[in-house]
Amino acid sequence: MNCRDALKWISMDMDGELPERRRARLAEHLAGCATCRAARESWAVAGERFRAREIPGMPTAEAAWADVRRALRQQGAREAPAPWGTRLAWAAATAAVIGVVSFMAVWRGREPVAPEVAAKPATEVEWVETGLPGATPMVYEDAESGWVVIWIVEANGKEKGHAGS
Amino acid sequence: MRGHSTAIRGMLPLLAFLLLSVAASPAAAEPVKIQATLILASNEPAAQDQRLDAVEYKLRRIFGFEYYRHYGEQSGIVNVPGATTLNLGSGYRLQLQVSDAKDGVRTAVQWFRGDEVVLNTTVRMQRRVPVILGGISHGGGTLIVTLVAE
Repeated sequence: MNCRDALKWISMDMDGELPERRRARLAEHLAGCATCRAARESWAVAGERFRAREIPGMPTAEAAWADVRRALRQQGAREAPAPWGTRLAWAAATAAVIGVVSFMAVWRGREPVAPEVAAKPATEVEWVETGLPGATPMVYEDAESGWVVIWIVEANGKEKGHAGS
Repeated sequence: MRGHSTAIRGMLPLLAFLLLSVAASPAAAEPVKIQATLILASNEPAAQDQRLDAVEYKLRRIFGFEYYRHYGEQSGIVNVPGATTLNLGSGYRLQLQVSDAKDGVRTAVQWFRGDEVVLNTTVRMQRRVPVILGGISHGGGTLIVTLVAE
């Protein structure tokens, strides 16, 4: 077994999807491979921290949306395309994180909220996907209006084309 | 006369059963009206459109674009469960499938650009609270769809 397969199997194992017969082979590989052992340790710690919401620097929904807004505000402005790439790359990355968090929040049920908020029914996005290549969906709830925004952060190249022209 | 009264008395249990059955049966779900509006948001000056008066200031606060142009709208009345297609103009359309209307209107939404699905989602909408779809670059701006169930 090579390390590439081992890493794939470690991921499957952590998701509870690795068949028993493969688990023994994986254990055998891990016994002799410090690199894969370290990867498994690292992923396990990251998973625990993610579940506990302790990842430092993890953007909040508000921060991620603020960045998307900043990018949108500059749409149509005649600027060099470089900042766009950086901003939208960041926006896409944070959108992906927020998307996952939103999905997990929906999947696991809503977080406990203050009674006065809980009393008011809220819009729920069960799942979302985009068919556009390279694009990332993002779900954002505007706290003031209660409106839910399902936003497609398009691939950098396309956005840059509009921004720069 | 006596035979007639006996017949009525005999029918009473049947009438009572029918009344109870009707009362106990779940009420048929009311059809849902869904309205979709396609809006082009941009920073290029455009005349104010009265059709967007109710939402424009909120859109401006949420998105930060200066100008919002009404690009098209359509509404449909959907049975629950049921489906409809709303043509928004400019080659865009929404396919909606409403599956439930308790605790919000659970709707599967597919947003098409021609034959291409640009967005696929399932959302439980609260009545009269807009859900905003958007992010598609178009004509120097960005397309936004407001979706409202009533």
